[in-house]
Amino acid sequence: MIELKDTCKTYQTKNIETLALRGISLQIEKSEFVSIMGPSGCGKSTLLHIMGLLARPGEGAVYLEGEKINSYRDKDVARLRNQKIGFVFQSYNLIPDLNVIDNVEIPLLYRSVSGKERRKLAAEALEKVGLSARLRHFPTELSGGQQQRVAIARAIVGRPKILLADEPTGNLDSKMGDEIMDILEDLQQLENTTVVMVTHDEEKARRCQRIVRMFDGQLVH
Amino acid sequence: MIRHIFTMMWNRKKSNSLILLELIVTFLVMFSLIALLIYNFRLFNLPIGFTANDNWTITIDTDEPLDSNVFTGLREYTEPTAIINIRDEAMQVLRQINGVKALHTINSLPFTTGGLTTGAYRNGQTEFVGVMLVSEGMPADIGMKLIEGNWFSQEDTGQDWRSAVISKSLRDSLFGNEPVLGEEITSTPSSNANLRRYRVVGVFDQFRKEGEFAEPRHYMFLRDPLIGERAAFNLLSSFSLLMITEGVNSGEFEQQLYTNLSALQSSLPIVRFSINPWERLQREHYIENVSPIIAMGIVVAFMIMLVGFGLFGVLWQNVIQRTREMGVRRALGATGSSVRKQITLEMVVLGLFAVAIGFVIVVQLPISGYVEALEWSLFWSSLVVSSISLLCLCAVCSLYPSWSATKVDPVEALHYE
Repeated sequence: MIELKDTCKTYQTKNIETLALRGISLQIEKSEFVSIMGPSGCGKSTLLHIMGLLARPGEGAVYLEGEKINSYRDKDVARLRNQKIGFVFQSYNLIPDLNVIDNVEIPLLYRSVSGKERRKLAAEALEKVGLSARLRHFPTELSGGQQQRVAIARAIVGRPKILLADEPTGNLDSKMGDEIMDILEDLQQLENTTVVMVTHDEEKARRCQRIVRMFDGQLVH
Repeated sequence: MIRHIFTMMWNRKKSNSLILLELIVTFLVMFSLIALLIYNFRLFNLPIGFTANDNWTITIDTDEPLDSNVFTGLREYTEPTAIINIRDEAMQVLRQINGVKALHTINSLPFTTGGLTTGAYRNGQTEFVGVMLVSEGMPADIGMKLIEGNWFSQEDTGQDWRSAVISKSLRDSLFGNEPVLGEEITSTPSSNANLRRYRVVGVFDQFRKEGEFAEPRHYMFLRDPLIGERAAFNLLSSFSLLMITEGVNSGEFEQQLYTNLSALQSSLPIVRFSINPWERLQREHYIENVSPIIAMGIVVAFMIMLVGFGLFGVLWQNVIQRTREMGVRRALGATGSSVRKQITLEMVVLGLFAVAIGFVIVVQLPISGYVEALEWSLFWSSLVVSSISLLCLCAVCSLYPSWSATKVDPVEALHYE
């Protein structure tokens, strides 16, 4: 599904050059639930951003469903992100001025989907995460767990094949974190979604099929 | 996308209230200026009904005293012989100047306000009309167009009514579709001593003595009787002459006029004289009317520029504040151009809110009739132009901020606090 070959990524600031990824080669299979673990600053999020086409690798190649996407134009990369990848962030990143259903609709705004169809798909996605009763609420009126569920609904509303989650339970208590993990597991098992999750939590990582460990920009075997 | 942006802007109405207020004020100022411009442009494009080229007015003030009796026995009053003599002599001198094609008496300068007015009453309706007292042949000589009947002539003299040639607008107001020639108009409804009777002998198309920037009004042309009627209008100690010229050099001709009139001044009791070529009067009329519009336009342009900078700044800051949102949108599949489109549309939607609120305010003017000149067609055209102008301003001000929003790196934006 996703394949990285000898991927390197360097961040250049005025005086410092930081090597975030050092020749990572990794293959994620279709419908796999993978967690990426490692200490802070080891390059987990960078790896996730490269897999999610948010950042381009400095060296190496990235393949998505067998297609090398390194040389894709920004416009094409945006289209791929919109259609094939869903993102869930640690801090939810909901737009505070929009209510729940309007937030969930956002990915569909960048496709040619009618307003009525958008509403329908957003309502279905919210039903999957158990938030049908909160369609008109604003993010500030929801708990952290509910906000993360809205973020998951937003990530899956376009029925992507890949779901990338950057510490999705990092801001939640363990009960709410478990609820989020249940939803991610359901997505992977019932809808065959490929889920890649960055986490610090060993217990949550163990619920995944595979754990990828990183240290200092490299995979640890 | 539009509905999404409307929803978002509506939800942000509180945080956008100041910028919205700024846009409403800008809209109101734009509307005022544009209404003024369209109003004057329309007036300017209406025919004035005569030509200014080659016409000169000479006004001569004499030291002949006013007779207080003129205010009582109007009809019987005869102009002082002394004035008649001065005028006759002046006309004789001016007629001899090379290039003078015709010479007429006239009671008022064109391209100026003021002049004679009277009531025009018929069948219970009174209209307020401007009056021109002119000699025979004068209207045709200045290019006026007769559309019914004839100009007045010597045969009209000696009647208990005066023959009048009226403007089409006066005919339409008083007579509608009825025949007008030979019909009578009086100055007042009652038969008092000041009643003057006019018989319509002709109708002309248009005469806008006050010039291109004045609202058209009713006019009535009477033959200058040189007696009675002039007294009624208190035109006794001075008179004006209209000179129609042909093939003259303006500068040299004016010099010649000065020389001849100065010579006349030394032999006759002339207090002062003034020479006014109509082209100069027209030019002064333009300057007098266009200057305040230009001044107002400059002030408004500066104001719009300041508002533009304000909008630009607020929008730019808004984009910076929403860096994370831009990053999220990019992560969810927005392309650079859809982010740019969103920022521009947001500003245009805010402009639409301002237009909607501004409309509610400005529509009160034609409804209440508070500003008489702002009739509905002027209102709608001003509304359309000012709305488009405001929306364009919004779009232009959002160009750079929206472009900078497309440059947001999604990864950096997602870590932006």
